Amino acid sequence: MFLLVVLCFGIAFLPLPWSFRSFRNPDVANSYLATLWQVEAAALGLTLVVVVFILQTVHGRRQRPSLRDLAEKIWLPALFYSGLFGIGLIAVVLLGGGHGAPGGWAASWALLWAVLPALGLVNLFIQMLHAIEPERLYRRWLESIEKEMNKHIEADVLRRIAYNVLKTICEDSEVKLVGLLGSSLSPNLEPIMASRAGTVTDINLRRVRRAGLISKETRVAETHDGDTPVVCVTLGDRVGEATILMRLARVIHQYVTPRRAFKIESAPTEVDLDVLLDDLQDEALRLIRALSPRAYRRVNDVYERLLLVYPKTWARYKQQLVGGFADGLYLIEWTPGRSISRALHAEVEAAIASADSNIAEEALNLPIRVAQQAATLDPPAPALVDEMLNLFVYGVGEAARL
Amino acid sequence: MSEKAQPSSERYQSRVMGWSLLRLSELGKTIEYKNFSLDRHQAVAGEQLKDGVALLKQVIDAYFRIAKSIIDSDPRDAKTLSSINDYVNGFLTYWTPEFEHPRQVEVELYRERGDVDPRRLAALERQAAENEERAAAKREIDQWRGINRFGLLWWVERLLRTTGDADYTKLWEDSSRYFGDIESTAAIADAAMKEAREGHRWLGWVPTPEASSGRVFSSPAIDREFLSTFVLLALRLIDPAAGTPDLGRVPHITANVEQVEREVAEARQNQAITSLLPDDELEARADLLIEAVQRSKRIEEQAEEERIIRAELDPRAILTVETAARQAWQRQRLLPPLFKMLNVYRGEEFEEGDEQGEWRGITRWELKLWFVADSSVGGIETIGSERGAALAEGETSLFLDAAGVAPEYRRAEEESAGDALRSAIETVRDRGESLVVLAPLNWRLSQVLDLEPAADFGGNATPPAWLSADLTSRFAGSVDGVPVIQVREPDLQRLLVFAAENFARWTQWRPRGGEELHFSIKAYSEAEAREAIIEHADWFRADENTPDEERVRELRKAVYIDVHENLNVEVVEDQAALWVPLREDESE
Repeated sequence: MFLLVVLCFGIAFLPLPWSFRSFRNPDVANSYLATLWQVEAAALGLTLVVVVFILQTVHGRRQRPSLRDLAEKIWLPALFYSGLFGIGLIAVVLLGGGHGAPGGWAASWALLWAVLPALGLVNLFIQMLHAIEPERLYRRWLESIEKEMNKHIEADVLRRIAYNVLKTICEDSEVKLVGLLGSSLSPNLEPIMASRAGTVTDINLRRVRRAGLISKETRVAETHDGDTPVVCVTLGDRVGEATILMRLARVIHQYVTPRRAFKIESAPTEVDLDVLLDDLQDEALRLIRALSPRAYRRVNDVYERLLLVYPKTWARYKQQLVGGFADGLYLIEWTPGRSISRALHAEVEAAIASADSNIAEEALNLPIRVAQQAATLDPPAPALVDEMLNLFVYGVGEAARL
Repeated sequence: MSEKAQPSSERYQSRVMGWSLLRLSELGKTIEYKNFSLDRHQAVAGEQLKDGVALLKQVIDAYFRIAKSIIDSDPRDAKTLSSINDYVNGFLTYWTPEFEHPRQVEVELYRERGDVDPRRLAALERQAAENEERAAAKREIDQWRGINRFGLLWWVERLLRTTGDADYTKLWEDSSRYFGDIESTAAIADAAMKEAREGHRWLGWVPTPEASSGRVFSSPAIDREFLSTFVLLALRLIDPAAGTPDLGRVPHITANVEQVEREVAEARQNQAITSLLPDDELEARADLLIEAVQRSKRIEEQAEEERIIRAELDPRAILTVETAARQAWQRQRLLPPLFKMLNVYRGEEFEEGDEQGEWRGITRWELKLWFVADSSVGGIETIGSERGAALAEGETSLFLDAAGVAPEYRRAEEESAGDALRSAIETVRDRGESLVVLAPLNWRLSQVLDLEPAADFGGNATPPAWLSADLTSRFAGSVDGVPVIQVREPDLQRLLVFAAENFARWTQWRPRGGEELHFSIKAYSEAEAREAIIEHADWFRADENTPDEERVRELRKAVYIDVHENLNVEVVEDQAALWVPLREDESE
């Protein structure tokens, strides 16, 4: 925004000798700009009306991308502001602001600036017509859901990977790693508490390791009734103010500054996963009821890509997805994987109950497709194969029970 | 079911089922092509092979879970069940690593030639190992198929028992045809029992009763139910004319010999499953089966015995027991810490063959089973800690014996025990400052002696600093500042007051370069065992007629643990102690 302002108004004040020939006469320039000003204002207003009308139409659709995404894709904000600033620029020039105003370079620049939004408006209309086509809107909607869910899944996987790494570091340095419910362990050691509420976004492993090793070397446990250092959080945990992050003997604090081992930030605003999943599931169920296998396939493609994010993300960090696919760090933790699994089970059940073989086959095809890919990854992801086969067997079982 | 589905529901179901089984097969084939190459030059091993086995097992498992669903819905759907079996059999049909060369025996023959090229030998060994690895993978998949078939058979039998539906009888008979001989069936059943015990694969098949039924639901012991399935199969497969079959090593079956006998009896009485029993020579088959299981059990036990006899002792187990013995001995020693503090404890060395002092120890036999690697027995530390503690206890007995030379306090008839003790203390105080009273174990002691009781007895007296933490419960309290320690001596009927710094000298001997506590474990070889039973005629003898072979075998199944020490307690000044007699009612 600031750049736009600087460009728009600042350049008018540059002492450039060039101008349109007509604008060498200030009166001509004055008259021209006075008319242009009104035309530009009217055009901007009319454009806004049309855009609002079209956005309203889009808003009425259930499967739509976010309006903000759509607006940004077609450069609407930039166009609007440049048009608005253009009007302001003309006003400034007419009032004598700028080099050679109300004529000369300033008037020429004001005209040039007015042309840009005009060209932009043409492009805007073309893009809008393109973007509001139902098929495009629908595709963009699916893409936006997938993108948001991807973030959740990657964050979940990263959390598990980070936990494994933290666990290894803690084991090597004789630090206990417990969940938030275990913060009462080692009561003789001083608690390090969160100074603010938020999410643990980083843990300095070097400090944690040092804390453990120094505690061991100085035999802190012997003077603290056998208590050893404890870490009570892992990456991604949400903590409140005064949540215990770690317990460490006070004498060790001077060597590691344990509070700095944990970075806590406010949780970024993001769309709730369950809301996204509900939208996707609703769409899947709608298509199943409508007996539209091809359209249903597109939703399943999204699921397919999301499910494969798990092993691919693990592999990216050079680790293999092990344990249960939908397992969390804690026994009762509800994970994105569990949510997706639950949604897919419901969809498969509905698909089988539809009594349409194309729909049923598409529903059962998803787990097989995913399993095939998971089995042929390097390294393979047996946990995901297991989950998909469970889904597949469930679906076939439902078919057998008809 | 919707109205639309009704007219063509069977067609729909059939199509979906057929399509699903085919797609699942494609998944299995994908795994097969990636991990089980037919081209020997692209043969896989190691992690990739393991991954392939795990994935293919998942697919096979999925097939049988689908089969279970079909059986639950329509046990007469033989066509679909048959197609499932065909698909399952279709995996790895042409993958035959068990016939690949070289095999290990060929490598051995090559090695014995004497003119071998070391590099070629190494290459052959590597190839043979990989071939064996692949052959083992194939066996694992084959066994997995068998286990799953067996599990399905169990499920059909369960349904037959609960419903009595004749459709399940036919289904059981058809499914049982996949089990062709008793030996391989026993191996599969045994593996299935192990799988059921270690995991929960089939537990989810058993429906949980409704909460409103009010019945207490307990998880079925599926491994035990598998035994019933095995019994039914075995009775059909056994050929009475061929004699007792050899079941091979089936530890999970032989661990339940009595149950096998019960299942055989129950099968004949349960009307729901009598239709599964063979019509002819049932008694003979049952007898042969029980005999086969018993024989297999004996073989199993003998094999296990032989394993233990031949096994080397596990150094970690020895270390565990030795460490426990030493620690217990140190922690349970009552008087040495006091004598060390007062410098009347001497540690001396002797040369081999020139032992001094008195050897005291505990020697005992223990099962060798606890000291071999892969032993599933835990808690062997107690073997060491008991011996260490007992040895330490014995030191106090030795001390009390030596202290027998000390004079006895003349206690007046009306004098209370507490007063007598106080007077004795006053007397002995002239002989030293570090006084201690040793008393028999008696819960009424603090009353009898009018002590200032210890915390364990409701008082505030604190135990002396030299007393081991493990023995603070022995501290009964104080009398005039003198600690009263209870000792576990059944024959002790009086109190001993002594001035520790002057009464006696404690000398602890150790061999040069050795330790004060000697610890050894010995396992006997064949030759040593034969010599030992001659030398010790009473060892491992149940009666006069116990054969020597049996004695040698029993001896080799045991280890001889020897824990002992060498010490001497010498009374230096007998007047520095006094015995205080207790009346009968005071020492109860």
